[in-house]
Amino acid sequence: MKRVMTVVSGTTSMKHELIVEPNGKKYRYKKVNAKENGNVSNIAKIKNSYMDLTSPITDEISTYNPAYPTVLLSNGLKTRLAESQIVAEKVYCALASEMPMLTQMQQSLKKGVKYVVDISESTSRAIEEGKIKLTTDKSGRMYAQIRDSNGQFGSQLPIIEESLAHLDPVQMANSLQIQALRGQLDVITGQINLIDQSVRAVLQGQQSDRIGLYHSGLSLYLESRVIVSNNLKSTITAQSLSALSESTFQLAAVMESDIEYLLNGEYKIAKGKNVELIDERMQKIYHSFAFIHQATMLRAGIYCNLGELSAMSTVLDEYSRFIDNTVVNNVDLLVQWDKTDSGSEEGVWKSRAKLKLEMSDLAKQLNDPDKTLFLGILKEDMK
Amino acid sequence: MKKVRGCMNEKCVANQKKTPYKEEDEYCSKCGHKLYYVCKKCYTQLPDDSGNFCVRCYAEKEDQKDRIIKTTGGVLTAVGFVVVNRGKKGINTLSKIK
Repeated sequence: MKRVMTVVSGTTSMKHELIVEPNGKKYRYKKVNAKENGNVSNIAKIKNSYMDLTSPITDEISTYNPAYPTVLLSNGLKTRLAESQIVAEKVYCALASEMPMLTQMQQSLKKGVKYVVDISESTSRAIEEGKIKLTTDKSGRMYAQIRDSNGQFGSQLPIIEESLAHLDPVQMANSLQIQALRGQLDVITGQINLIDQSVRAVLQGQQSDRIGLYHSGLSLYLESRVIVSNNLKSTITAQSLSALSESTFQLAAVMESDIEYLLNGEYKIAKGKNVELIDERMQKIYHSFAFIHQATMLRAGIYCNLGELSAMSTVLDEYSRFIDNTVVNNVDLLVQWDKTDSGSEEGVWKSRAKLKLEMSDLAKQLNDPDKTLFLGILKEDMK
Repeated sequence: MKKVRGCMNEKCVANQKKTPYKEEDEYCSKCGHKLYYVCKKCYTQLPDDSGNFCVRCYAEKEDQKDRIIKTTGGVLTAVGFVVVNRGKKGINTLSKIK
């Protein structure tokens, strides 16, 4: 048996194969041309699939990598989905082990604990006869004492605390809702992935005050992750989110004014330089959009990693509304101004315009105060 | 000038070769995909109510016109300058003869 490890190179279409021989000593490391193997499309897919929720959680990449915000958001979502899967399994086990189902559900939704006396079967009979009382020691711990036949209380029996069903109803509801919304999350992440690929190419080497704010927000977030003090941690995280939000809205304002400039045909004033001015503005629009996307993904990723899913959905909803107002309303003209866009449905701007569709629905469902759980029973053929 | 249509199916040969179709044609003869109005110059998809060219190509045409006017204007100025200079020289020569 031999193990083959495949390493995909990011810039070339070459694939490296590391072949480990059964004796464990010999190994070969050879380059394989991906085209020869017919795997070109697979490689491209792997390279760009940061937002694929079915793939495992990836290692954290460098913060200087343009894909960092997307990886942060993607890993956050994967973690939440994994957690919700565990909770869903707990719910299933709780329901399956303790019947009747309805009684169990009713109990699990009640807050509080029940006290269980850790005793043998013989002493349980004594309890039925009313020969037991609950006492506490000086430290406040609770014990049960059994009255003897002569009327005196005997040794203290420890009482263990058992929380009902090991389930927090709110956590359970949220987790199951995430499971239910998984399909929608998949669609959204697919859409984000489409935009993300076109955005990453224009990020390199851009600098301005507003972009500086984005980098400041990113750096503050990274610092907040290693701070021990809870107060300082939350303050720095809040500052990071604030810087990112400021950066987003300033860049959005710039982008809107650039679109306005083109809409009003202000470039026509300079005779013989119309195309030059259109291209210049389009370049600025590209950069603004790229950083708005990055800052939004980072904010959503931070909220997701903090477990604030409603805030995350609000950020994504804002992004959706921004796209609605700036991109969707002007998509026909953006396509014509952009020399790289073919104008087809798969083109840069039309694919960006599609993002608005699913986001608002998800935000609505996550923010809905009335959460309803629907449990279905799936019969499996055990043959 | 009539508008042209084009196939937006990126896998189609007509799209790759940027083959223009008549305005009356509804579907691509190569792949059967629906045809859309496209820019006569760059083949970008256009909305139904637009002209023959996309905004960018139209601006490019305007730029060309402006450049021609600028160049022609420059040539005419140069010609005028030469004529005036020659004229002055001629007048000077004539005055010397007299």
